[in-house]
Amino acid sequence: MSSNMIMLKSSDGASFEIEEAAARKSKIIANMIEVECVDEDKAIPLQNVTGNILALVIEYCNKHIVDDDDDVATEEASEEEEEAKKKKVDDWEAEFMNSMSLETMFELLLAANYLNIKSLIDLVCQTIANNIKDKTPEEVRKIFSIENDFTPEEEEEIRKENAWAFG
Amino acid sequence: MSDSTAEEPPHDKEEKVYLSRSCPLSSLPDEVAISCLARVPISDYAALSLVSKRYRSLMVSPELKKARVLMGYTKKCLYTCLITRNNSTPLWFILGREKTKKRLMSPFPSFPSQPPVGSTLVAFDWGIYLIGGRVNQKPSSDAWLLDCRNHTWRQIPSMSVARAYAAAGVVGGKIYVFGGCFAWRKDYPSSWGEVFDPNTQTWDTLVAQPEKDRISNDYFIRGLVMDEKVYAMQGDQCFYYSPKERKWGRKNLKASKLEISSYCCVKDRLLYGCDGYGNVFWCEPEEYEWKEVKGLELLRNIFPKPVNNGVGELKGKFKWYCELRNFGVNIVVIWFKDNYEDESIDIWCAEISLERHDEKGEIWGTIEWSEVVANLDRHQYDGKVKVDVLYSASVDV
Repeated sequence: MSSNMIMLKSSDGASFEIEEAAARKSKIIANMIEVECVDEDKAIPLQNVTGNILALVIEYCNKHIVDDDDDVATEEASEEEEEAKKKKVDDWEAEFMNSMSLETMFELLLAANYLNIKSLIDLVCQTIANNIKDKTPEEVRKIFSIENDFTPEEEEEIRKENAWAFG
Repeated sequence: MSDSTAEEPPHDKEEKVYLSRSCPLSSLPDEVAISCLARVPISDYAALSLVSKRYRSLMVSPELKKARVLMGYTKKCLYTCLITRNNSTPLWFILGREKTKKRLMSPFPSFPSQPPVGSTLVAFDWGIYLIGGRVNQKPSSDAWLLDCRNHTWRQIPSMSVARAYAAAGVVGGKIYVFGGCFAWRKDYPSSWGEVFDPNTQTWDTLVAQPEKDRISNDYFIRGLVMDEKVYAMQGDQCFYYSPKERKWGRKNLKASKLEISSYCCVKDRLLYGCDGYGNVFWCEPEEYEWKEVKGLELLRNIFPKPVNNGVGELKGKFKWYCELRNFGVNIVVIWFKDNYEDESIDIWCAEISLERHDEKGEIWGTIEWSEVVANLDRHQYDGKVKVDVLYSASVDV
């Protein structure tokens, strides 16, 4: 395993040291490393990510670099072991997502999108989707502070169209 | 989904960003918001489309549909349209979108002027097209589309020819329709075959059928698509249209003693069919020799027996109609069973997976599940009701 360390710099000037293998979870950073525009002594500036969010991204990447390595090394692991490991990751991810506010979640999603970290996008999107699931329109508006911009007539019209679903 | 480094990074693309400090979800670019919404079960779509205008437009956007397909979040739903002998309004049901474990068909409204019989059904993309039909003993040139994302019906442009019991199928994103003109009663219409392009919402006439291939009794029970051709059977004759070659064709089929009441084509270019007794058959389309699908004794056992059952009108040779359809790589069979105790009719459904044993030239089926998916009150339909499946299709929504 490569133990190369690289530096990342958030939009608000905070610097973070991260293992190259972990940083490669981001397709953007991986691309930068590929084309050798990463100077070992210089931090990669990430203009769209603040320090507190970048810290979360790095926590996620560090956690998952280990998992990825395990995947390769333990191909012959038994089913139970695989399952136990998966459960451990799932538990960690659930705890990780649980620890943050909805607002942080959105910022994290935007950062994951910007850095192109697919598995993190998936995780956050799924968590947000779970928050939307089984809710009334009113509840969704409240959770995400969305303004209802329908007139009562328009709302009635759509309700009628959807009548079977609310039945 | 595969990661690809060659992929353009998302932030490089032009994005429609709806910025607003106070609404965090609105701060997500459309493509990210869609990535979240694609993971929400479709049963929540109706509620979500009421949240705000932006949600409404996201929920019906083709991008959302695309994302669901790409991410594998679409769900196969079985749409079934039933008709009862004593009621001319067809009943629509959908199976597969409930959150509960128990499989239940939920009813949803048909549109008021749906012809009671004779329409041709085509499932394509997120919609079900109903084409033509018989109203007051006359064929109709009207056509309708059911949007399976929100279950709304709307009329689409009419065909140039009125049809009932026409054959239809989708090839290359276009809907090909032919026959059903009851050509023996009048002159052969120049638009015996027509094609509908959903993108331009227009009908076009297909090349004329050569005289030698014409038939007078041009009503078909089913159409199906194989090798990019639309096929239709009529007795021991098979008719087809090849959009690629812009050519009509006609073949003779081997006569079969079996009463195959419903057939379909699933993967691997095989036809499947069933009779009214719970027997499922398959055949190579070229041979057209039906062979039994093995391993489905259980299905026969749960099918109603066509023997004396003590109820006058159902005695003797009575046999229920039974429907067989594609359901992804599997097939589904739909049938009915009378409950004499409580005077109701159970609608049964079974999903069957298929496996080909090449060395023996056999196909074995496994019943994945079989359940009563709906129950019709006989009293509601004058007590002496016979129910038929008019149409059914599976749609990814």
